[in-house]
Amino acid sequence: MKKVLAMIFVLAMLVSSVAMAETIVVMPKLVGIPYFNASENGVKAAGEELGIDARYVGPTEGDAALQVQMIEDLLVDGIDALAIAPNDPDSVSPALQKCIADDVLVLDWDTTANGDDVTFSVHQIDDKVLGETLIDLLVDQIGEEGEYAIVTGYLTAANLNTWIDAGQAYAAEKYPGLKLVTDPVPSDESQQEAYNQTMALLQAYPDLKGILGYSTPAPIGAAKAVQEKGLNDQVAVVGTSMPNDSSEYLKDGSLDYAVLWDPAQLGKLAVYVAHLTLNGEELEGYEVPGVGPIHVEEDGKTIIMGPPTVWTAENVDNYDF
Amino acid sequence: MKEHIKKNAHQYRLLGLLVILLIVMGILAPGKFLTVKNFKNMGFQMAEFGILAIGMSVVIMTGGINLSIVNSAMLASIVSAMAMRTLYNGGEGMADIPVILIGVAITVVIAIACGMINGFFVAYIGVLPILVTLGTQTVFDGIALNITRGSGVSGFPKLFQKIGAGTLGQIPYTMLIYVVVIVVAYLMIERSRWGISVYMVGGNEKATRFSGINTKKTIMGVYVFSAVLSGLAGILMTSRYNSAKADYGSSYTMQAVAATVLGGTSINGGSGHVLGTVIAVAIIQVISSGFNILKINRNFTDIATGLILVGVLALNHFVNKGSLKKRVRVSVK
Amino acid sequence: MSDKIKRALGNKEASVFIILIAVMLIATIFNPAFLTFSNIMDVLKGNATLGICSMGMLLIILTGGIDASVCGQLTLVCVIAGKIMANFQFDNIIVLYLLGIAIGCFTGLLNGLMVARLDLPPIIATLGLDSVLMGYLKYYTNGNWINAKELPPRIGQIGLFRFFSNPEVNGSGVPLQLLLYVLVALLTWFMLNRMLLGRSIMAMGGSRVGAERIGLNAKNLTTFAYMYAGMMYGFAAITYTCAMNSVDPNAFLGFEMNVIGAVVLGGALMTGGQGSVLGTVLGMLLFAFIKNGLTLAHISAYWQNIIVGAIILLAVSFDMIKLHREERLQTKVDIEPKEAIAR
Repeated sequence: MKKVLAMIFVLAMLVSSVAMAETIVVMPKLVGIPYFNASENGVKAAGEELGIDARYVGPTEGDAALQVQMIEDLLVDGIDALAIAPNDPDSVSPALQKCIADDVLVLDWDTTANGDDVTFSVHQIDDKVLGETLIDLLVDQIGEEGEYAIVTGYLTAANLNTWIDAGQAYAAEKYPGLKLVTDPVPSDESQQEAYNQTMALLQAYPDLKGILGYSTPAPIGAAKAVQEKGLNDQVAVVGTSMPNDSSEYLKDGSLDYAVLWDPAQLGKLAVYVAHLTLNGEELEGYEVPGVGPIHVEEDGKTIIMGPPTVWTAENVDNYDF
Repeated sequence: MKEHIKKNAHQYRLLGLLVILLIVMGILAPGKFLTVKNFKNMGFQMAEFGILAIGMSVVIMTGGINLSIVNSAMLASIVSAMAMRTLYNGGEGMADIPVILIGVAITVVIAIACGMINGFFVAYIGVLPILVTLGTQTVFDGIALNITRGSGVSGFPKLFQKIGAGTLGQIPYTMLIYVVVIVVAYLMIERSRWGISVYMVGGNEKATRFSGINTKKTIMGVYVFSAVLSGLAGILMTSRYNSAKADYGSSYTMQAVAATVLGGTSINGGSGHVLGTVIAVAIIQVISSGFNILKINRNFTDIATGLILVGVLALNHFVNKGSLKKRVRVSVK
Repeated sequence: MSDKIKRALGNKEASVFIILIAVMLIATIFNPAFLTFSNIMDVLKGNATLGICSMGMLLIILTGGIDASVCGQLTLVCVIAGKIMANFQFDNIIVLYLLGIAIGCFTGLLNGLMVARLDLPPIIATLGLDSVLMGYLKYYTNGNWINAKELPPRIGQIGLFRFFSNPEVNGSGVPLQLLLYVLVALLTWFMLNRMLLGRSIMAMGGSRVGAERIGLNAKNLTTFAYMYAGMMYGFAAITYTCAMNSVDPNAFLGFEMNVIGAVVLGGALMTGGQGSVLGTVLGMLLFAFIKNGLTLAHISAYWQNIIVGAIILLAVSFDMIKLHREERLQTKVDIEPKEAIAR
């Protein structure tokens, strides 16, 4: 019996000690939604290009508790680097500190984690810029004066709240004529709920000139309601959405602008930054295939991919994701 | 002994399943699963969910359900986190220990208040538990959203993190707290007078009332007990995640119901064991952690959990059917 | 006044009805736009899926069961039908409805067999099916939408169809979805009140042992209830896909709680045997109109959940308080229902 146990033990040690390729884990807020699904493709592509084990694992629900558990489980498995899109920066902080204690390189991507927890911060764009861009695009449609409403994903979504807050601060200063009629309305990341809420908003505020949709299903649901009420020309809809899902609505004019970036490029960039850092290579100016040169901001930490892409009826067919 | 095993056959079957799962995972993930590190890890994770599940079980034993259990935990945590943040004031304010003690006290007080609201509606107004807790779930969540505007509350003493992250030797504090909760819950429910009245209320409330037991008090007690456990889980979660937020643990509610029923508690009340729930929680944890370590797509964890839920209870059916054929059974519940 | 309504509607339904009227009145005072034809139609259209599903759930709850697999079943139909629509540009809506109903019938049958034949607790059986379905569907679709671009154009047009619409005004008239909902509600009502099948389900939910003694096959009746619910979900899924002109595999997460909520708010007892189509309709309307009314009354989203929860608590306490008062007025002979012990 003892012998068998010893054998199993030796075998186990052997298996686990087989020199593994560099393992980089990219963790989204959740898997199984189009946005994070698109970034998975970028992560996989980067893994193949670099010949490393680039894994994409995340919880099936956007619950911070599940994310923490996954990080802890990954540590048991053993990894070299973790790039995380935290559901909530504070909640993952203790788990990320455990990673650092285990000599795992930690980055954040998509959504900012707490500064002390990460070596680099890889971002699609500046949160502030996105928030402001959305307001500018709205103004482009409705002018500098008028009523508008916000339909968001969840009231608890940290990144959406950051964009909303940045946009509000900007609007208050630059466009005092704009009037947000009510606090952001949640749509639970569901098109139907966004549709219902927009219908109610249109009834509640007959002078409404624009709707800002945050989270990918929200602008589509809002556009559907506007389209159905035949208000394409009276009410502008601007929001963060993927080109394929929004193309029909952009073309019929119910959705005026869709703003986002290519999530695949972002996933790819995150893997490259992790890989280069693990191997002690210089980041600044490194040309990531299909993405462009890396530029590290002055804080020596933040890496921003570029300005957001704005899709309109004209250019939406040039994109496929 | 034989009688004991027969009486608790379901729990022993669950225990068997747990052992099999541990062995299988150990073989599939050699050197990784059956390690101190992983068990420590699972210990950290299991406590908050386990405590919530026990809180859910007690309510289900009376034939009720507590859909607001996670929301009361988060509401209590948020209020206490706000208080701790103010008192601590980034290190400028009070010292660590008093801040934490006040924080814990506030959590428990708010949780008890939440439990009393549930208990009041169920016991004294007589509304169905599912309706009451559906309502209070929405209210608690609404208040939590309202006072935080959807963001997380953090900024308390570093020491507070120790509750969720510290260990005594190799054993996480969370695990110790969990064990204490298990023992207390076991003694209260399965070894006390009050516990007997809990089962009786679940079996037949009216008969219990006519037998001279104050069923209203019992039910009130059950909801308060459940809420205190939810508050405890809230403290662990706030400590582990270093913040409190309205949507933490949103996936725990249905899972807690599932763990309770998997553990052998009848959803109609009147039966069940604390230890059954504890083993069920461990099974869910082992599947979840094991699959993560095995790098299996997360969606398959959901599938496997679903199949095991159904499989275990289907097994019960066949075993019971078999034993029914052998002898005529006088069924007294 | 309350007595008359009570007589016309039955006790439970009357309470929900009174609260519903109160909510609608208050909303109208805050914003007269609430009580307009177009707003009411929009709300009903937006909640038709919920309404159709709640008819299926009602049957299950009448048997003393519960269905936690609404999300999985709806999504399964949406994804299969959506793939067929997108890949073959297939837009024969009748065939799609039949397909949806057939798939729902099958998944419902699975639930029914687990509950009736294997004696699994309904919550475990359905939660199990839901985890398996959703786990697989999320893996298979990766959460990707089947969007308006891929679906045949006719699907979206069907979703927009309204009767008696004024060609001058967009989105006016009675939406198709409302008609479908009314049809399903009438069918369910007819079955429960005028057909032996439905009466048997009611009887069985009231007392399983009693029903078996008079020769009803409880197992088959239970299985049928789950199959009927599955068919309703299938029907709802196709309706939803047309109305939204897209398939989002994550669209129905947590939807089962809304469906269960509508049914139990409408006075159905979780232990079975009690509940009605009218009550369920009122429960759904209460849910739908509170939310819409709050937004129309210009109430901030940060206050909405608190108010919704408070109204639910008020609504569910209302008839219990009334009952207590009546109990005090009359001495009652209490006969304990036996099924609680028999189970």
